[in-house]
Amino acid sequence: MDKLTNSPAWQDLAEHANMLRCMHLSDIVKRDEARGQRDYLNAVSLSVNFARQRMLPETWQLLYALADQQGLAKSIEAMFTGEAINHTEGRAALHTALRAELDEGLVQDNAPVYAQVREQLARMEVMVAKIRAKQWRGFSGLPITDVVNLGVGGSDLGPNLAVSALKEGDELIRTHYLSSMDGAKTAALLSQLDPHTTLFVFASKTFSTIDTLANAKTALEWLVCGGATKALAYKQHFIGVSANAKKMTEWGIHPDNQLFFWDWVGGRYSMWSTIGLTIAIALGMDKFRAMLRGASDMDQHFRSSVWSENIPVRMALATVWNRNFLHIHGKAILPYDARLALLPAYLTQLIMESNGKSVDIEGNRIEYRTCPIVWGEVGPNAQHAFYQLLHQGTEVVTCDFIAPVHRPDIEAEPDVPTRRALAFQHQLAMANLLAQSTVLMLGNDALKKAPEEAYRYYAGNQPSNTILLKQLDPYCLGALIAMYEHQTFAEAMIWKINPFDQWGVELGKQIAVTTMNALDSGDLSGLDITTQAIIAQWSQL
Amino acid sequence: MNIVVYGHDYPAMVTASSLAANGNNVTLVPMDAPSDWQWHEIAHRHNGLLVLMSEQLSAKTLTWGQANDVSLYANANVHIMSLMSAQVASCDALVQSLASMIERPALIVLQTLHGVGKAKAYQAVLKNAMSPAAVVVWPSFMSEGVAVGQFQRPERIIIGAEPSWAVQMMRELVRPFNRVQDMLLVVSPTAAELTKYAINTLLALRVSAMNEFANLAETLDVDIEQVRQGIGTDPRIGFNYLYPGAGFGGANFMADLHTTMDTFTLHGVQPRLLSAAMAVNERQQEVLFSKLWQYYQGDLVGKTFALWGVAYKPNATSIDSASSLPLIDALLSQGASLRIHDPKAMPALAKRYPNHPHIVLCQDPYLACDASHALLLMTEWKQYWTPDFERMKTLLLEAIIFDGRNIYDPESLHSHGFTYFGVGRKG
Repeated sequence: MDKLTNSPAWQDLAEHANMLRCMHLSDIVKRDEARGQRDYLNAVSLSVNFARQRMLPETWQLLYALADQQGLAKSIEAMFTGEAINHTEGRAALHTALRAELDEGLVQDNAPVYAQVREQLARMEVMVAKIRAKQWRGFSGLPITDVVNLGVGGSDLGPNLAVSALKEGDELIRTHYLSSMDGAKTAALLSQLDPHTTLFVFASKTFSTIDTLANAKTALEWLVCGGATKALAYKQHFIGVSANAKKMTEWGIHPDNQLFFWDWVGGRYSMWSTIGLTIAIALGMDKFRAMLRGASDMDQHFRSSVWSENIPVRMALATVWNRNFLHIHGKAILPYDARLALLPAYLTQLIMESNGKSVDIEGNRIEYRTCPIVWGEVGPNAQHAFYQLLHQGTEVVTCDFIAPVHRPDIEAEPDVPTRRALAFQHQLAMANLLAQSTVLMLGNDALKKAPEEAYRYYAGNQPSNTILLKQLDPYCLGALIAMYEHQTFAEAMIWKINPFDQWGVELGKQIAVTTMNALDSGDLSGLDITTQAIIAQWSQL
Repeated sequence: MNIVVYGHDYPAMVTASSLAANGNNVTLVPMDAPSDWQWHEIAHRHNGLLVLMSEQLSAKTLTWGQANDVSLYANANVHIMSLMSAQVASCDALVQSLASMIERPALIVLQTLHGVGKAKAYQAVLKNAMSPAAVVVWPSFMSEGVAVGQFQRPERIIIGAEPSWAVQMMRELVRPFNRVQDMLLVVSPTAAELTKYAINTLLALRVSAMNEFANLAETLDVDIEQVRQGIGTDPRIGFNYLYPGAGFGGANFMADLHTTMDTFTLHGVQPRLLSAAMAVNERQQEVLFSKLWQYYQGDLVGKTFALWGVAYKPNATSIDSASSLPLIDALLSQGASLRIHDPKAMPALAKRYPNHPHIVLCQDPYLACDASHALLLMTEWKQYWTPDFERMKTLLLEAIIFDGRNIYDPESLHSHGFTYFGVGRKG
């Protein structure tokens, strides 16, 4: 394959960028007053404004040409139709099928995709109904009141994000999340729960994830100490969610309590599958289905819209432009709504685990930059933290400013003075969102008269997207996350990398096994000298 | 006096007919009565009520009134609101229309309460309409089945009234029921309301406290029955409402407790004790289920159980908010079937679970035991106290009794060869 950087579309963009790099965003905006209205898309209850990108109208045309050159349309169809685009693992990536409203007749591993998905959703719905009706009983016959999600990565972040973003008021069933292997949080959480009324959702695609196995083992011991027989602990206190039925059975998950998903669902794309069980338990099946509908509508939008009308594609093209032509290394995710506090963590995994790659799909090392460093925080909190670096540091960063426009939760507040105070707070957050992105764009030009001191200097010229949700509800959250999934996928297709594998996380696990064995046996001689030194230093504490 | 009583349930009938029997001229207005409502169907379920009603109706001291034309009653001296807890909207509307029509000093008496502060609100309605009538609170302490006796020989009469003429009229009204010794306590209307709710709250606290001790006693291998007898001998406490069991229920009692919680919350005070008592009760209503679940190690699928008694208490026909309902729902959810008997509440049960494939309604308690895995007892009707245990043993698949009201003696059941589970006692 010819090098991407030598390709005509890339070369055209590089040349265009040489010219554009000399222009300050403040000037670009000043000379193009129509861009606020023009560079704006509204679909699936989301509104995305690109007017604060360092781009001219022709930049977009050159980027569309790059998308065409890289065969993006074909790649999108390949994903939706179940081709084995995850070539290092020989699998399709069919998370879109998890939320498809119509049967497209897809078949994977000789089984009909749509029917399997529906069947598992139906089984999940029965469990959810029983738990939410308080008829799922613990070992002593008391109804389950608390559900602990045991999972890590995609099996943790998706459910945790969705529930923390969407739960409102009194919770019928409280949900908790244990992910990390160290067990420090496990001990603290279990001490606050009642073994009689706690159910564990053991969520792991492979059912061999050491982190989750370790937490589940502790949970099982805790239940037995609390009075459960082993048989009832397994039968009434564990639901397994996995793509590996054999391993679930081996561990002891009762056959009635097994929910499945499939190899063709990537972990970080799995919240739409039965991994969403904890979401449905916390919010109810109707809300879970509404989330699927939002994502499905975004799928249709992504699959059928021309590039200029396509939100995820334009988001992806903006990333490529900023990354490869403006040489920006960082991307910050900044939700101006505290309920979205986990969104940065979720997107960190989605984007960086997908696109943190340096080998192309043909196995060649690549010579251009791929995934930026992604991080983030609730915007108003980050204003008191790393915004200093955004405004006056030496790294340029692109930002996604995210907020819901409507707040039905405020409108529903019965107490008038409280309602007014909350409405004021919402407006305050929106004003700050707009102000921060304005200053990043204009720098000192945001002022009529610039101050003289150097330390008051704001360079500006930093691009951002403004992403507004109609409101923070299951449908809009589904659409928002699907938008980022497709953005990530489209970026990968331009860069010619596989966004669906994660070989980079394997070696560390492998070495951890060797290290664990060495610690167990006390024979450290096989470890490298720095590891040996660090272990020796433990004794000094 | 010319009296109008509004309501279609037993408290209205008991009040109307008892007042009619004492020389008053009473009109009974069955507000919001359902289309298939038959007064004698309700009257025959309460001792003495059918006869009392029939006598007064034929003597014409008691007549029926129309619910849709309140103006007919503008000349009455006393209007008694004896509606149900759920009829709060009707009560509001009724007071509104009476306010514009009553032109001489008359009483609007609240017998059923709809929260603390309602009397005050109604008095304001009257004041706005420049009506000379006064609102009086006269909380009723009648229970299902035995209401006539309770009304005519009350243990206490609490009157919440403000103007002295209103107090005087109420004294006159209740004089025939206040003869042996003066039972009358006059307080402010709001105090009368609060008194009624506080009484119910204290009863709930007592029962829930006993149930908590019962659960502890069980783990200590102590029979709570022995403890109950000891507690009752303390005159500061007494024997009433100390029976542990499978929780309390009943539509009016539960509605009153919820209203009490709402009243607390509305005024910015946390009802800590009452909410704890309610939480304890919620668990207690399922105490038999838990015992059953543990006995069968969580495997209830396909099992059949005989259930004796579903009414919220003996002599009642109602199953609303009864403890038996959470038990039934829990068993059905686990895939068990039920064969149920109750002397009077079967129609209500049939209405709640119409043609349920896993419920069989049995006309005879022994029929319920036939081919059942165990017997569960939830309401202590008299007829269940000394059954033919030998016959039951031949009918049940296993000789097991789960006794939710501790009406059986564990020793004697053991001698009959039964496995026995009570509440707060070892089997």
